[in-house]
Amino acid sequence: MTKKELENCIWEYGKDIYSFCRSLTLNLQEADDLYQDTFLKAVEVIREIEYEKNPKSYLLSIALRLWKNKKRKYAWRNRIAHVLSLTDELDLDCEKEVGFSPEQEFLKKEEMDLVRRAVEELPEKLKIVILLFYMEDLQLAEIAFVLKIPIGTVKSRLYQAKKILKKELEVVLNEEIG
Amino acid sequence: MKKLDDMLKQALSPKEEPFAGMNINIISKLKEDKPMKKMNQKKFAAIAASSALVLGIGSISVYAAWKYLNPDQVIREIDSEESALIEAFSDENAVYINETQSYGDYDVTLLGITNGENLTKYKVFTSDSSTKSIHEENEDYIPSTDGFTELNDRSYILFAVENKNQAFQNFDDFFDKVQMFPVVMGYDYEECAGLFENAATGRSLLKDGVMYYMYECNNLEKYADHDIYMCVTDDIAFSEYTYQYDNEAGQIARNEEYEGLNALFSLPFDASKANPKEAKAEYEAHLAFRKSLENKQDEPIREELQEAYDFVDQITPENIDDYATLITEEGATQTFGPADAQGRILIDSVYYRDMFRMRIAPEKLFPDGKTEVVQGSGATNNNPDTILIQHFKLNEDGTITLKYYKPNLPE
Repeated sequence: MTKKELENCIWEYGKDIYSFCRSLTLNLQEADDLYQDTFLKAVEVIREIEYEKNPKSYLLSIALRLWKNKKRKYAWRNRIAHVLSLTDELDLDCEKEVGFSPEQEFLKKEEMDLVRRAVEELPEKLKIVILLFYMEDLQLAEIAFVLKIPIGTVKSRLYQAKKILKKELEVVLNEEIG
Repeated sequence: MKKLDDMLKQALSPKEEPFAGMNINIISKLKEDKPMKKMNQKKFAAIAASSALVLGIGSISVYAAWKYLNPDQVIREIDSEESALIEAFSDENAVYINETQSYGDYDVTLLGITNGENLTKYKVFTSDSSTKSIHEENEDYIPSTDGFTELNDRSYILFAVENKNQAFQNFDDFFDKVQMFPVVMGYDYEECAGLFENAATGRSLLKDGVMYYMYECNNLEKYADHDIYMCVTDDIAFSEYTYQYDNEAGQIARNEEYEGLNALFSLPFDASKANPKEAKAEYEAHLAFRKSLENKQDEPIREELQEAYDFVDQITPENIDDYATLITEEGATQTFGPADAQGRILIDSVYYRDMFRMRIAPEKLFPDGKTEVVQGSGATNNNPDTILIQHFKLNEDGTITLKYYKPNLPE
């Protein structure tokens, strides 16, 4: 990959990578660090990245690898300092939808918060698969590439994660639409 | 029953943007082949706040890849020996912005901002009546600074300005066409102009037709608990043609009707660095100074001078030839026009005894359907002999001719 191509990646996939970093770290400062470190690393290994072959997956795999290395340090830090949770810190208001009353909008936001919190509380291995699948829109094979695990394992983790989420979100899922 | 897949998709779709300054920093380092250092969070917060304010105003692009030299490069090219300034404009110490606004013939890019004390070899001194910028190392002649106060705590705001129709020829060409000045919300605009403009100076670099201009004024950071904007215009001064300013509400906006350059940049200062006490003291000192000037003006005029003014007041276009003599020196008769897109005519007198510029609509200069008006200039050093009379005539083709007369004062 050339520098120009990496620059294109920053603009094209920056939002995706950053959202992933935020979800992994649950912390603004650490997400910023992880995001920048990801591209710092990408600069180092720029020759290894093939622009034509799904660079987003490659960048996500760098972010994930770096995160795993840092996690222990962050875990220690988080024990001694309060870190706002993803749903507390992010202002992820759901898109305003036409025809929704303020009350419905509020309920919808609450619902989205519940979903995100449920994902947040998944075991890390399962959470990452969910994030890559639903947030990053990666195919199973791409997730397998990012995580360096067989596709079968990806499927299995996705299944387990959804099973837990279904249970956790039972109340919300059983609500009537509208 | 709702579908889990849909809910997850909706709840987890990427919504968080990295602060663009972070991307700019990464790209900048990517191009430089230097080890990349991370930017700190405070800068991002400031940048994000500012971009949120200015987005949507008009033709603005924020945080595209650097099209121009970055701030660090510009300062190095302006003067590679300005080590403190170069350091202050490094990406670690400055706020890199890279926001372009395009209006009229111009693309104006706010490249970056830094603040600090004693950052340049140029020393700026101010007195009640003027400002001096002195480069001690290069000047053969160092003017006296007796009665002047040194200003060393300054803001440096760096722009790249491009004239899309005709590349700038030199600094004078740029300075002739483009004005810039800061405004602090919640403060009276005119007082702000006096406070910052009087002690403002700048450094420039013309490269590939792009004028890089570092505007320098008293440190604005102390006002950072207020919104601070930078106006960049091709109009002569702040006017309702270019900006709409509401002193009471503390709001400023571009006049969308204006067809020339009237860019408005929100300056991202770190609010935690505001010093309201110092800001108030600086502002009040300025007001006191202005007040002292007004008091000076209220001093009684000498009888001889007052008589001269009374004489000049009686001169009209109809009797001017009886009471005044046309000056035939070079430059004393000039014609201006045509009108610009706003219907105003730029009157740019280059007559050496009375150089001034104004942009005015003919109907304002010639009220009540008149086609000729006269007005006297003030005396210099209270000397009645220095009084001039400006005679404006609206020509049939819409242009305006300015002639200078000298009043035939009674002995």
